[in-house]
Amino acid sequence: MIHAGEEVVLTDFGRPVARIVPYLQTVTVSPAEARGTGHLEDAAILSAIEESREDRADETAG
Amino acid sequence: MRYWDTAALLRAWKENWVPTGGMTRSHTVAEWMAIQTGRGLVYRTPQGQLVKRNLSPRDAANEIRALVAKLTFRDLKPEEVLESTERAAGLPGIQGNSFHDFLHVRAAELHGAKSIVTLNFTDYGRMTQLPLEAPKQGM
Repeated sequence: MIHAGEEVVLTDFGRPVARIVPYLQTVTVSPAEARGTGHLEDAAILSAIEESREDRADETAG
Repeated sequence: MRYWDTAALLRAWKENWVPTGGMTRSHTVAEWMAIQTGRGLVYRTPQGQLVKRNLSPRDAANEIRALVAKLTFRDLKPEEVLESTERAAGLPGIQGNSFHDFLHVRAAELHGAKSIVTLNFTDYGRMTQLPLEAPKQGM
């Protein structure tokens, strides 16, 4: 059973071959709403930075 | 003077406080805006659900201006960036996206920061001898 929000790594004889990252729709809110949404983990901040840099690489590739 | 990176400023923003002083560079604003107006941040609700929220460009512009109001901008010159590429080549593991982090580190070092405020202790710890500090209100 895979739960929503759970990241899954598929392996082939123990070797990771694919990663399924849960899709989360981005909702635009006010700053106050965003702050009050819930807990923001340090790991989530670092992941957001990493993903943002990858976005930029994709957008400018070629 | 402390150097504030993007992660530290995202943490300060979430906790609704403003750094009392220090430095950062213009690129930090670019990273902060790209995240807040792009993919957004993933929050865990009190019910344990993960949700993603971002800001409108207008709101984000207002927020970042207030957030960096007491910081001084210290950017890298082109030659300093090029020198950093050579320096990175001599250090293990500074490649790909981590070069962005390395430029934060170099800006802090070249502008005489006494420490770097960040959440990224693991990667920065490999890149610099400067002390690393977690962001806290009142800094």
